[in-house]
Amino acid sequence: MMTDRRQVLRLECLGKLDDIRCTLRELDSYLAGCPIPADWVEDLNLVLAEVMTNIARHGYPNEPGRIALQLIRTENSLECHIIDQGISFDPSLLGRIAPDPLDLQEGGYGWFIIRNLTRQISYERADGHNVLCFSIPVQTVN
Amino acid sequence: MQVTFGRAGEALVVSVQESRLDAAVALTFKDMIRDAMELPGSPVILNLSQVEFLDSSGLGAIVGVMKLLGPDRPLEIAALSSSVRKLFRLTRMDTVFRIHDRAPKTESISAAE
Repeated sequence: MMTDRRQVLRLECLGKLDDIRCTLRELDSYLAGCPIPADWVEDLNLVLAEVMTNIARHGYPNEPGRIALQLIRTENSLECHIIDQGISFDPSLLGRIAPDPLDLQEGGYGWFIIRNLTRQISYERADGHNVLCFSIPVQTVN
Repeated sequence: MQVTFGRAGEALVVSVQESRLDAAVALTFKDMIRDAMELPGSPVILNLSQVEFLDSSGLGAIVGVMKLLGPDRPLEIAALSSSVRKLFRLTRMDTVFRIHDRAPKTESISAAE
């Protein structure tokens, strides 16, 4: 984990659920010491958990590969770039419709959460890499 | 992953002793509750006072536990942190579960790890 003068944070972990948990726990304690609103840190942690869990489950279903994160702080938002070399996917149709709570689904909330807490989502497959970018505005939820 | 069980009147209180209920522990959590299904008490109150972080996998496990318990043993949720409450609201799961602001006072019955 390192920062430079442009307030860029880079980190890397293995696409395994235990590693993701440890990485996000570390990120959380690191950000707790930064002058960033708690709401923002909570949203970031949740969105990263959803994205990285998807990569572990669907991107690297057999062998866990690497996940690289880059977080860039601007005045009003946090830009996130998440890069992996797992199976490609098409996020354009994911999470558009809110799951009906009465269906009592045990899954399928991930992309709905990601879409609701982020702005400017883009996805690109380049040179065998998935590159997912989005920003998290300071005030996201109602 | 540790869960403790207590009693509050007629209710069985399940307290999650873990700060993150996430994808890495969601299945373990569900299995631990399944193994404790024979403990009596209704409703079952899930005390989340120690849980600072819940993701959709953790939420899915809670929904799974609700289904395991069946219609005769309602699952209620207690003591949500602000971020956990936000996830319940975002997914509208706050309309499915009865939510208590505070965890009830419990008498201890046993602990499982």
